[in-house]
Amino acid sequence: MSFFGFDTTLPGRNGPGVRGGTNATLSLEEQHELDRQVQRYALETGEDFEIYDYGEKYDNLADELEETRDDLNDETFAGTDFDFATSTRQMAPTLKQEEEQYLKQHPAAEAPRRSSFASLWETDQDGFKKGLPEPSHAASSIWGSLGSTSAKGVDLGAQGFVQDPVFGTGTFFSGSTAFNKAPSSLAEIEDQLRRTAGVQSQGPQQQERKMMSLEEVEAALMGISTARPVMTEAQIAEQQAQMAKVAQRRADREAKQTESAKYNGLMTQSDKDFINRIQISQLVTDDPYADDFYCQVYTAIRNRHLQQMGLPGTSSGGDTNGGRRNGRAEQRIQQQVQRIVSDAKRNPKRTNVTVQGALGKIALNSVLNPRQLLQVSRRTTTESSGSSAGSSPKPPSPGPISTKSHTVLSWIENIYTVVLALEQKRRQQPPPPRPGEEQHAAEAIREWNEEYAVLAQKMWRELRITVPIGMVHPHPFIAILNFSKGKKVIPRVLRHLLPEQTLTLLTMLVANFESLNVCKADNYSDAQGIQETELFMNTIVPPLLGFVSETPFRIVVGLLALFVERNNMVWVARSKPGLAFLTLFLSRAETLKQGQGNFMVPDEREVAQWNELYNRLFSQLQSHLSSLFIPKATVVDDVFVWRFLAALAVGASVEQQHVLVTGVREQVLENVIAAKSSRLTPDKAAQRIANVNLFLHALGLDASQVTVPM
Amino acid sequence: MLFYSFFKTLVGQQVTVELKNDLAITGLLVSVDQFLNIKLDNIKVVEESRYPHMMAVKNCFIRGSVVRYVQLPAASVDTALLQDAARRERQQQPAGRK
Repeated sequence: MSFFGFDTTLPGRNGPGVRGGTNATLSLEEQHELDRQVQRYALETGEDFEIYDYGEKYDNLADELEETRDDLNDETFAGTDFDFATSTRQMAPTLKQEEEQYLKQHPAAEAPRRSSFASLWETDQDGFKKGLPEPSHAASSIWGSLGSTSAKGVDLGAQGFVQDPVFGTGTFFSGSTAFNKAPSSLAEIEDQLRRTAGVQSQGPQQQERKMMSLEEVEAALMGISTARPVMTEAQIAEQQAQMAKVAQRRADREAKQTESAKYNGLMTQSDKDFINRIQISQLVTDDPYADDFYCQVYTAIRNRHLQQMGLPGTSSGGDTNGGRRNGRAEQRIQQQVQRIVSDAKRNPKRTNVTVQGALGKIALNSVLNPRQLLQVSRRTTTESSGSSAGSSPKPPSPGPISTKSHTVLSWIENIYTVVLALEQKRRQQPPPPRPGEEQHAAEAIREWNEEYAVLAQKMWRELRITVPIGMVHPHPFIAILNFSKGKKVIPRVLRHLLPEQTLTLLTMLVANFESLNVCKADNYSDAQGIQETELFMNTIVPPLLGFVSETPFRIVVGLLALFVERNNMVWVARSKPGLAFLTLFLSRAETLKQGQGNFMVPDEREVAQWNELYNRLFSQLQSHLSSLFIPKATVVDDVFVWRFLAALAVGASVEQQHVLVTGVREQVLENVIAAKSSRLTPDKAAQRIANVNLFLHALGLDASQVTVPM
Repeated sequence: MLFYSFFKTLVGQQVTVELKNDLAITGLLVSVDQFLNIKLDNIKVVEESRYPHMMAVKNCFIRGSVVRYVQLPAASVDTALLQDAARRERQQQPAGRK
């Protein structure tokens, strides 16, 4: 076996050129080694792969690219002025001619380098040609010209080819003397070639694969040029047939290789890393909690619900659990993409980069900075020309305050913003100090407290509760509460308020109760009114109920006094929220009067105050007791009225009780009769009786005692 | 990112995806990515008689850009939280972008 994989023993000779380790088939390791060397060589010869691999050693050169002043690019590159491919195609024949001429004049020209470069593509020469028709045509002209010049060389060889312009000087053959003595065998020639090629190449580590192709060419040339004096025509033919066979075998082998490992090494590991990082940078940001807020909180809430129901929490959909499990991996990825993200952030305005010589643009869009599809021009007219305080979220200043809907809505949004910030702060509360770190932990807690207080103060200002009453109608805080959005935020606001602040809020609410939109009589006629009322009852009443149930007697008296004084009781009592608040105050006062709980029994003066207040309230309401019942109301709605009547009855004197009973006698009878008739289902009947009993029990009576006039 | 975050919570739910070519596919949401590409399993086309060729298809991958609507199970949407998330998203946007 020889280097080329065919028998080099000439007829009648024993081949001495059997060489170990130069088998035609290369092992897999050798192939890999070759690939690496090819890359190294390509790097050395100026095929700069480095630009594709700026993962770790990116020197920010791209940052220095001039991005501005490209406004005229479109005009500059309009038309076909820059259609280089077409002009290249037109120029191709000329190029070819010139190339041939050049090669004749400069025998030692680029040939080795070009050929070695082309050999990189030799496995895929067809694809190469397809992809780059013109350059490969030019490149193939090298081969063509080599072939033709070699023929010339052969012709000249008769005259002594040492001076041959092609082969004379030492690019291909450094020692041209090798051709002066007739080579004894092909193997020897190969040996020589190897030596000379080794000399002219960049060192002994020169990749064998490329050399093979080089030598093949050379061998082909040699086969023509040197064999003639030695070999007969038949031998040449035989040689050519063998070479064809080798080429065939080689092609077969390569086809098999490409089939077995189709896209092997198409991308290096760093290429893959680079692409991965780009993709991940779309997903990972510096604050995953903020970006994935919905998913994280939703999963947390649902898990809590499931745990309450005794089921194990799941992490499907969210990655809160998974995130914790793969915390370290996630952290690592985060660190890796940090740079890309910060790069993108540093230049938020520049959404794409044009790399010199690249055909496309690199978009720096991210989830937070998506490609802008619509260009909407901002309206120049300022909407807030009429409202001075409206447009700016400044703390309420004395002067005209608009309560136009968009202004109030913007207040509400500001409240939400602060509330969200406060809730975020709550979650970031520093952990309790561990032993040995008290000093540090105390510092952190103090800092946290300060920041929290600042935010809470900001929220308090945004609520506009401290705006003096009567400056504007309705009061800003009430205007906020008149939106369902504003109602919804109150329970979340209350969590961050100090007790004094909550009391101020309650005072302000009670003082302006009339202006609440849930306090209107026609609320129960339309669906939206009912919805608003429901919302008020569900969001605002429960937390304040909790607050009132812990207040001392004095404050309850004060609140009720304010309530009675500032509002038309008949009007307020006809609304469900109004009744709820009245019931709340009455029952709390009654509880305290009886000395329940840990609170002190109120003194004489306070009780006298209370009794006076109660009498006033009662006198206002006594002639309207039956109108408290909402026409066409459901049984459930009536509960509030009965509950209020019960609260009223508990504190009533004997005469007042009598008035009460006479006032609602009709309703009591109506309910009892309805319950006893067979028109209602048993549970509905029971509900009605229970309602009536709420009131009657407070008087020491029971529904069963009511005699129904038949 | 909000929508990606939102759709992640719907994984495992039955959704109906209406495509821009009027095809409506009901199926179990298997996964969704940041482009809002959607993977559905056990799919059923809403108007099967109009699209008989879809009867044999059991699962599908839908490119996000061809989706017109996604019909969601109302019970698994927390609107209040969604509003908060939208507010947060708004806060994160640079002030210049509206």
